[in-house]
Amino acid sequence: MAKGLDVGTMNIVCAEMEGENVVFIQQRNAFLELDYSDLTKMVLDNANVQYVVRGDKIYVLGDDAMKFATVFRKSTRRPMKTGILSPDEKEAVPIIRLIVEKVLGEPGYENEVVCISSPANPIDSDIETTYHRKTLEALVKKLGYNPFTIDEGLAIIYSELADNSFTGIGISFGAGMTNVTAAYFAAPIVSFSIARGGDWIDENAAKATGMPKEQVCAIKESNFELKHEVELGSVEGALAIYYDYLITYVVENLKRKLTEVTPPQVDFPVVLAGGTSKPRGFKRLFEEKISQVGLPVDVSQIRMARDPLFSVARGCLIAAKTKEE
Amino acid sequence: MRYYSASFIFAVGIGLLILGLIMIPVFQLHYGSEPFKIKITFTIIGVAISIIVYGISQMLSSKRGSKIIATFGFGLSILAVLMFDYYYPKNWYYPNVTYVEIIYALGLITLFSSSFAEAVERVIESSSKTIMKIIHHERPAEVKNKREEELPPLDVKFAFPSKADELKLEIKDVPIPSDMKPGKALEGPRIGKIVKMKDEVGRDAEKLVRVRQGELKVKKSDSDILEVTKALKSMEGRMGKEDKKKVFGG
Repeated sequence: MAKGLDVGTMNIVCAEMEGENVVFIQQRNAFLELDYSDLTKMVLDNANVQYVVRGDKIYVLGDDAMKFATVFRKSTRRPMKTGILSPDEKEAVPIIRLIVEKVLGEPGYENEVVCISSPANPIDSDIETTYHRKTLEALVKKLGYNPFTIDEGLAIIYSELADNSFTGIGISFGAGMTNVTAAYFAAPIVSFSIARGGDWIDENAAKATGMPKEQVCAIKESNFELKHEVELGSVEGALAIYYDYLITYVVENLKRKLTEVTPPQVDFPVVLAGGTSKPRGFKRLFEEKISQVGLPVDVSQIRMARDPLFSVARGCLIAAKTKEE
Repeated sequence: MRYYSASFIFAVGIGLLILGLIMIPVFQLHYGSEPFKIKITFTIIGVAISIIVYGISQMLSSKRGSKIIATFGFGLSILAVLMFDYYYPKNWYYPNVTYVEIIYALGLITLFSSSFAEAVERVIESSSKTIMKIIHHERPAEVKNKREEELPPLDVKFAFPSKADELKLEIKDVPIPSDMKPGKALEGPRIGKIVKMKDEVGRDAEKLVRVRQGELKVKKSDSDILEVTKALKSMEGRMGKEDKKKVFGG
């Protein structure tokens, strides 16, 4: 047995084998702070809501935090920001420890191998990812596991490009960051991240339209489609503009980074994953940008991951299995 | 793939050019030769030159814009050859001759220009890369631009953390604070949305091990991969359990 753990800004996903099946356990990486009262506690207990009590506060965790945020008209808080542990959130480490512990479960045996996804260092920000990576490794180690980390983009290549000898480009459009890796025979030749993702789109679309960020996020995650025609003034229009900007930014930086190395002259398929890549029309828009900007490699195909939300966790599970004794 | 098709185009052009040049002494061409002989010889030579330059241009260009310009230049020169075929010999006089010459020359200039621009860009990129290498003291992870066959199996240590990368600091447990009391729903061992699906993670992990050991090669196109996969699957289907283990591992 081995496990793959995708620790994202929005979701924490664990992947593990159960016979011939892969089981994914997903939990929102968020919490909601409420004032303590016996009545609130009773309501939450009756509704089987996941929470912890600390002093005069109740912290509702994971998916339940998102649901109750609407009921209580409050904003959720996140232990992570722009792909790493949030330095502004003092409860980040204990809360993320709790969520990771409950998603990962107890190890099946001592020192069970766990591969954890980690963002690459961003090229457009001074964020450093070492502290985040080492903290997560330490948290998981303390649970009795034997952890190691790989870049998110590489995890996508492991998950989706087995039939291409793990050669190609994996891009994870996450909530906090966009992670990009180009690999040749499973070895990364380019790996970087961009400190922009779904949250950046939500924030800017919310600012532009004067809508609350949560509402913009809800529209984005419901039935949003990226179309050629944009209705100015609408939330959908603002979302489309920022999606277009983000994709252009990613493709231009990918081109720049690939030009810095000399990529081998083989076909490079591109796989897109992550929650931010889920709207309809995303792949088409990405294809258009690639053909406009042009990459210094032969792109044989562009496709979505089989399951954009679970792809990183699946890639981590594959990597973990190769380290199993 | 681009390099193979460009080489093929170039080779076809060279072949045609040799054929056209051979035809000059074979037909013993001179000013008064039969129009048919002159027409066929110079049509072949004209097309051959265009194809050769187009092949070179395809070899160099990687951008969509350059490819479009090169194809346009190639089209112009072929149009000029077709015009020569149409006008020669009955209407082969001024200004038709000038039109054909100008169109052919324009076609070749366009083809050469696109190749030249691409070559200059590559020279600039290569110089900037050299500077980058000097700055970064020749980073070891860089992969050299060689054909896949020439590349030795890669050392993929950098895909996984090395021993030196392991955390040596003894980190104290990050306990859930004692005053943090979990609610009823957190009493179970695990929480979260569960999705179960049939998957071949084991097969992919085996492949990853084989790739890292340099046992699998990258294929040039998806159709090649499909062919190899089909062949392997049919082989696997015909094998007994023990043979499967020997051949495919596991």
